[in-house]
Amino acid sequence: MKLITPQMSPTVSPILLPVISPIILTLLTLFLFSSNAFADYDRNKAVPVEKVLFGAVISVRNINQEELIKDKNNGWHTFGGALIGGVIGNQFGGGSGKDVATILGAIIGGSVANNRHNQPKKVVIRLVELMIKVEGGEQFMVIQDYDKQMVFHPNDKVRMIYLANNTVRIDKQR
Amino acid sequence: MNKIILATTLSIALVALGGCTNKSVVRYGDATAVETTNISFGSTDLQKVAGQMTDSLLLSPVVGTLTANTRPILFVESIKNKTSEHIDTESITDSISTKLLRSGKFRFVDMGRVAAVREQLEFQQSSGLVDTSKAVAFGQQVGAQYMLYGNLASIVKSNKDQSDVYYKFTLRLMDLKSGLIEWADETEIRKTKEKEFVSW
Repeated sequence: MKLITPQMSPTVSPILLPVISPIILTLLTLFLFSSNAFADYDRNKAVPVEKVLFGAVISVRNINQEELIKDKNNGWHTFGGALIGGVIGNQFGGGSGKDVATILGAIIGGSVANNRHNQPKKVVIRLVELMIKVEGGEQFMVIQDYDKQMVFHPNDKVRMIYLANNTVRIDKQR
Repeated sequence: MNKIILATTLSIALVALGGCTNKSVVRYGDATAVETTNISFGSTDLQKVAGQMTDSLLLSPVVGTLTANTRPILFVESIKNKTSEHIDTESITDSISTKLLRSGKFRFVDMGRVAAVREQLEFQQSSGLVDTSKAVAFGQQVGAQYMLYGNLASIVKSNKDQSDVYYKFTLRLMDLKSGLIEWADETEIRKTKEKEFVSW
């Protein structure tokens, strides 16, 4: 919004206004759209919760997934099966001999970076794969959106929130 | 020509509109005033919870007996946040422990500062900079006798016209020696948000 301020000066000649107006419109449009391009989780909203597990992060892996967009049109829910089925590599998969429940978290598709300059439909989705050990000793692998407002590190104390809409979200305890 | 006039009018309207909405003013307000910006957990809820819990604890007959001849030593474990919201529960316990300390009936040990204390004692003992005869020695701290802990849970219901949030805050005081819960209480908060069809 501050970008527009110079044009608000009363000294601007009326003849220039028609030329300036498309610029103002463009700036305004850019502002309106850019504010929503990278939406993060709305962690301060009171929504129904089924249960909350407490635990700590064992490891974190950031994933940039390009193929995910293929299934976005069919809904994330259906794609969830394929994702758990091994589209994204399980960092403790195979040799560890321990079954880890993998959960596709509440992916809102907010952290989508659209690089339309190279290929028209190539979209990179930033996700984070979190290995969580809850207080009962059980381990879970949760994949959710990368949220720059809340970046996870190993040993962070977290809450595993089972939301009522059948999704899971990981939050820091503090 | 018409197009130029239209564009000019539009841009003037936009500028005028932008001018109206762009003004921001900073003011000081009353920290204890009731805050109803939205339905989420806010400062009024925190103050209400901390105030009610402290009053309940201090007025409880059991605590009266405990604090009759001595000032019991407490430590705050944590408040488990079972809501969907990211609430700083440490802030709630900070308010409660501050109020309890100010009452003069309890003393506290702070488990969140153990590492910092250890670092300071190690500096005094082994850095060679502090007079060893005056340095604070290890092993002289006093342990807590009671543990204060609790839960914060919420039930949220909403339809298109109305949202209702119910918070329940539970706090308990456990005797570490016997494992008995000496005191417990809960505070409830109900908040509703309705669409107002007529507003001025």
